[in-house]
Amino acid sequence: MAVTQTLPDARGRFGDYGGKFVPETLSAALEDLEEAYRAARGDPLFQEQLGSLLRNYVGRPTPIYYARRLTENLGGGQIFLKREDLNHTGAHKINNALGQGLLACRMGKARITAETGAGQHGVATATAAALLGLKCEVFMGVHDMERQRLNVLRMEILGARVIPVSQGTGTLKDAVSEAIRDWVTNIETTYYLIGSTVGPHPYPMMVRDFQSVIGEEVKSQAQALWGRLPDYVIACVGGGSNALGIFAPLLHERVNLIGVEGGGKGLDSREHAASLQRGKPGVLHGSYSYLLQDEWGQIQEAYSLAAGLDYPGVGPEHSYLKDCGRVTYTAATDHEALAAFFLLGETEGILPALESAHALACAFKLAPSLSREKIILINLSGRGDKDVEVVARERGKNS
Amino acid sequence: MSASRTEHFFLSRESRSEKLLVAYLCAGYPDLEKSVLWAQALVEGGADCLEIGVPFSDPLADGPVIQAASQRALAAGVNLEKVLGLGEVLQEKLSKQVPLVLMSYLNPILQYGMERFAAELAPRGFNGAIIVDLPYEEGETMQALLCRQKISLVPLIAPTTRINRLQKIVQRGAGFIYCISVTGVTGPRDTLDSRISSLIPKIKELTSLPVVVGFGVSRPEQAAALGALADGIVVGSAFIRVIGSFQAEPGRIQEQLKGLAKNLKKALTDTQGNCCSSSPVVIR
Ligand SMILES: Cc1ncc(COP(=O)(O)O)c(C=O)c1O
Repeated sequence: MAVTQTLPDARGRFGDYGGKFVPETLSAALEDLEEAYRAARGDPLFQEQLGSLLRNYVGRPTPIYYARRLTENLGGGQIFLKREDLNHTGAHKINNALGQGLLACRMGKARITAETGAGQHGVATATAAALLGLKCEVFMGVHDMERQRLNVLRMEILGARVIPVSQGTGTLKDAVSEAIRDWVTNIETTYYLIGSTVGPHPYPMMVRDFQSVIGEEVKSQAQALWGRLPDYVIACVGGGSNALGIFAPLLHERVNLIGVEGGGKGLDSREHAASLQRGKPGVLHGSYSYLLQDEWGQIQEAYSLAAGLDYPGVGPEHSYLKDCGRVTYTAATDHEALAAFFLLGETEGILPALESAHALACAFKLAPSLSREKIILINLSGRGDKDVEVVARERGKNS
Repeated sequence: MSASRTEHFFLSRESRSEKLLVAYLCAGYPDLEKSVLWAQALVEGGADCLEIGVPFSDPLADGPVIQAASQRALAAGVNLEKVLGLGEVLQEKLSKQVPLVLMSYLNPILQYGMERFAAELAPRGFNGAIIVDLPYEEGETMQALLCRQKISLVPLIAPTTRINRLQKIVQRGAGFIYCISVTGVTGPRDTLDSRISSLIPKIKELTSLPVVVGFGVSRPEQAAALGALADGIVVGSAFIRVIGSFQAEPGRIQEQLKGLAKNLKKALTDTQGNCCSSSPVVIR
């Protein structure tokens, strides 16, 4: 975990990016959080607790699966899937929710809050709260509540309260803003459990560390499977947590890393979520990073069919990795992601989350240009049950 | 830091005779011409300083009242450049010159350019700036840029701010010290955080700058209680509410704003010297 240890610096910066741009009321809470996290990280008991939950409750390690029929269908490089969709609750989000949930217990907080877009992080947090006996409230944009209805029901059944956010566009950005306002108000009693590598320091570092279990597993599984590392690792980027989870342990290895943003209706339309490719650096939700914004610094709406990618910002570490060129960032449109969703279902019997389908779409473009001995590993960050309604509606439109 | 412009206006605590009423306005709510009228009314009612808010799409520290006003102002096409322009107009049109403090979130300033921003404040009539999401550890560059232009970067202190941090913040602070009265976002409230009754004296011990309390303050009784503790108050959402609730009869807004400002100022002034008053009404 060399890189993981060196960045961010003491000020929470990845190069110029990151930091703690928060109202004063939150400053003390962020200090406490960082201290508690560093203590937990170094505590073998905490690591053992988390490790045991990841094994016995989540079902880790997740397998790497060779998608043979898909590979043959596309021709070219071999496609492997890191099956985060097989985790308990159906996405990578649980890795982080349990880590931070345990931390909340350590800090003596009785109430946890979260924001959610696709609802996967909300479900993961509600799950952790049920398991750990904590009160849970989840902020969710009204638009997202509609398109991810199934996950709203799951959260409620798990005992969480879902708080609808109607401000702004009623999507993830507004849910984060409301969650932060709630935290400012209930700072003494509440642990704010952020779901991605965004927000003020120490969140981007902490979420990355909890998700790095994905990349660590890849490293050891790769030896057994191939006797070497894959040539390409591809992940979708919303806030960036599943991508950093798989990238971070591989940053110093000779592996091509590709992050795929939500291309919406195309990067030349105004409807996309490609913060890294079409945004400019600025400050939102506590950190300095690439942002979709107008010339006056007002945040612009993002758009993606995948609720989990529909965010105008991105984790600061991705901004750093983009500028230094270590990771290549590209986008897949709604249309391409849908095609990938169907192809994976038809060839492999796996329905991917629409977010993950963006990573697949990128791999589908890449694979035919590569020779058969090349290995492409896709982080299949979640399963697609939650998206079935949206996909059916889209198919209705196009047929 | 010591010779910044705002300090020339806000005299040190000992030499000042009155408690300060700082009035917040969301620039451009519902449009920029109206903002001038509101500002005039507030100053006529007795406001000693105006905080001119730059509307932002994602105001993290603001409650529903200011969020809605900001949205309205943005829809009317207000931006940082126009808010700076408003400063110029106010400089000309106010019946009495009061210090103007620009209040903004960081991102509009970053996109405008920090140096350009710092250089333009004074010529446009501003004496200070408050940047809500620029805490102490991120603020050094901005503070230096503003200081060079003799603009005060007014710091915020919260009930959760710890003593070692408090010392650093106050030391670097200029203009006045803005003490947040609640752990929470802006917006009228019945009760304020009890911690501020011990926090304010602590801040006063560390600085001769005026200590002004804001967030949640809306009523004369609160003004009276806080006036006994602090050197002044900031009132925002209460004024914005007045503007919102008299939209059907805009002619009355000025009169209402002036009346509220007058009542608040009077309540503050009546507490003069009454520095040990207990204040069961407002502080929980
Ligand atoms: C399955 C899945 N993948 C990816 C994402 C995007 O988030 P991140 O970029 O943090 O991995 C989400 C977010 O909700 C998700 O549910």
